Amino acid sequence: MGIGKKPSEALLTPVVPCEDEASLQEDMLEGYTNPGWLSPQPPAGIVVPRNTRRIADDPLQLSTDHYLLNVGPQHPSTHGALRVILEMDGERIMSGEAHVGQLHRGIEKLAEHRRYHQLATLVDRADYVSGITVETAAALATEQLAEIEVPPRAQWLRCLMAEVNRIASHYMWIGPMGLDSGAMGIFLYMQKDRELFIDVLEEMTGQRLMFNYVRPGRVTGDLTPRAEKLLRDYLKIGIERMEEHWDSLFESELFQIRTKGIGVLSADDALNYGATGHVLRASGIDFDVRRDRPYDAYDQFDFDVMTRTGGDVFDRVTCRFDEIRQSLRIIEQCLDGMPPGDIKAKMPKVLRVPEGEACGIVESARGEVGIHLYSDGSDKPVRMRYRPPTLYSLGIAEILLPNMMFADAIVGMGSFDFCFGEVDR
Amino acid sequence: MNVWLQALLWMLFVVTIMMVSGASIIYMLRKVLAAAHLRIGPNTLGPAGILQLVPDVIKLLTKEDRHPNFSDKGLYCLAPIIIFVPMLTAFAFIPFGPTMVAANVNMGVMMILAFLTLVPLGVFAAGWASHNKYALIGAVRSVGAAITFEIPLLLSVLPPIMLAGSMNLSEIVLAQANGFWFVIPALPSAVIFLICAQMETNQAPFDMTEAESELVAGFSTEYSAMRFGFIFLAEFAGNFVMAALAVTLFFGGWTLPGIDPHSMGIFAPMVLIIKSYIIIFLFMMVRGNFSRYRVDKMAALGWKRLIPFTLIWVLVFAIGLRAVQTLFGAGA
Repeated sequence: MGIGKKPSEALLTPVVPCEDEASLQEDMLEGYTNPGWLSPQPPAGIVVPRNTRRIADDPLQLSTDHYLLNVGPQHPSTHGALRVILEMDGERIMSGEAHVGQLHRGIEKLAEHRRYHQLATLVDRADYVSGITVETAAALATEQLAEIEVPPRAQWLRCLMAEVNRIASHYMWIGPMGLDSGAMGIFLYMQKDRELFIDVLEEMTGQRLMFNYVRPGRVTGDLTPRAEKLLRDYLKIGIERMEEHWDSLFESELFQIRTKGIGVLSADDALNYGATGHVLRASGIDFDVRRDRPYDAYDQFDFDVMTRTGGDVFDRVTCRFDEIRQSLRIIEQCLDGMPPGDIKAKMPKVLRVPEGEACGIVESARGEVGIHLYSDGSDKPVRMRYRPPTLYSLGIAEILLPNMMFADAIVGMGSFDFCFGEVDR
Repeated sequence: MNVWLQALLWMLFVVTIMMVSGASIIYMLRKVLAAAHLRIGPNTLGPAGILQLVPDVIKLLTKEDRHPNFSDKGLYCLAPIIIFVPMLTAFAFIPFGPTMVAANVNMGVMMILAFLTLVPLGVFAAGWASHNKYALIGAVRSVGAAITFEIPLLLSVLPPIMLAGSMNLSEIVLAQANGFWFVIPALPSAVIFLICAQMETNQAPFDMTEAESELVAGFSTEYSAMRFGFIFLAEFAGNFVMAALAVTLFFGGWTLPGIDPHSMGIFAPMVLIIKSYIIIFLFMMVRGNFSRYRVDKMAALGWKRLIPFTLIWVLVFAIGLRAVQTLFGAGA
């Protein structure tokens, strides 16, 4: 049984939607390679939400009565406020539906009542694990609208802090991936490393979580000697520490058994479902906003974009783990080559931007974050749209769930690094 | 001495040993895992946090004892007892010294394993009666794991029995004291026994029955207050029973090599307890660092690897042992 893989055509019942749905699905699935996925015919006596993808009973296997299992939002491994309803046959998942919105705070609507320099505070609360990167997206969009030139030192500081935050966020995710698979130690080892990066962020911004650091045209603080010392100290031991992490988690055969070949996402699906970040790169698509559409000072750094070809959970985790090494490289280059100068552009106290629209696109820790602002010439945006990368990953998780074992589903869903602050906004 | 008084004293002895070992293993687990994880662990109450268990027990005793709606109340209340009592009884058969064994029966090995086999029944009853899907999944997993791992566990205790020529645990210990530790000729059995012991006591990497990241708390999800306390205590007591059994069968029990077993006196139980704690330490390090098996992979490990391997190994061992005995005389 190919667990975690798409079932072969023979296992699937034919698509039997009603006429309107058929044409709708044809439109939706144009270019999608495997429309045989959709099979909205639940067994009698069980209420499964319509339009979820489900697999048919395997005639060769013993199947039992199906039951519904409600996972979350209080479940320990849903990483926030995810609720998934699973239709199960024993330990095997027949179909699954993710419910979002438990953490909705109306951030996009609130943005319509905030001035431009206040947007950073809001988007911090959206992606609360890697705040610097999303603040940068908001600042970039505002700067495009107002045509502000950011001083080079501020740009370099943004890159430095974004990478520090990216590493903190990656550690915050890979550790709990170990917990999802049952390994407790690695979580605490990585928390210990993350603590250092959070200390740096605290030193530079005064905050440990909601940094409010990147503002339109400027950053709020210059590089302090203590932060630089902390980072340089870590750069000396960092690679060695990462080798230890690698040995204790990825070299473990039990972790490999639990993650290799699980939740395989093909490159086609990754593109069609709008995956970005490590999900895309682990499936073999070589794309990173930092390299391919550089913003701030990223065109001046020398770093590699990490890709994998398997698209399974193991590849997603290791792909990101290697990204930490690249982030350390960028941090080193930042510290060595930081240009002198001011960290603030000359700006009016109340920023009024011209009419128009602009989109700031960054590579956040979880993928491609875009913040689209629409301005009517006043001091507040008319509309803000936040593109959360993990909302799209959630759609992918839904198509991967059928035919997984329950234990794999926990690890599989964890591998997308959902951050429900940004999914629900 | 009055036979009833004697029985009462032995009962007190067994209960005390179980409570003390359960409590000390909980403290040890906290400290060992903390050290393995670069944490501090309990450090506030008493020297080095040694009294941490007191408020824990007070908390368990004073919490509300709640039945979930629609649960099978009789079975729900009975299940922790079905889990706890066999664990307690198993202690009676472990020899702590030359005369310190509560029940010195000729079928000691079988009795311990028979009582431990009852534990999955209690686990299943707990999961079934809880009226909770997570608990039920955990309970079903526990039964699957039990039927997978009981067979290699039973097969792996055969070589020491063959070597000692007896199922009486005291005699197995004395046979090792007069000769060599049985781990030397029967190393594969010792390894398989330790693997199965981890399964038997629901320890990672085989803790599928209570896999917290998947099943919240598995079969004990709905339990609270002292009922949960009993399940919790039984788990740690089971740890000690399996470790002590491993020590007794393979690592010389309460004896030390080169020391006359009858001059051990009061040190005999100490030796057994220290040896057991070394085994438990091994379990804890595994528990602290490794990922959890998936339930079907674990079944594959049991049925496709361990059972065939132990069957062949027991056969090879028996033939080899008989050959050695024939060639070098029955004393070998």
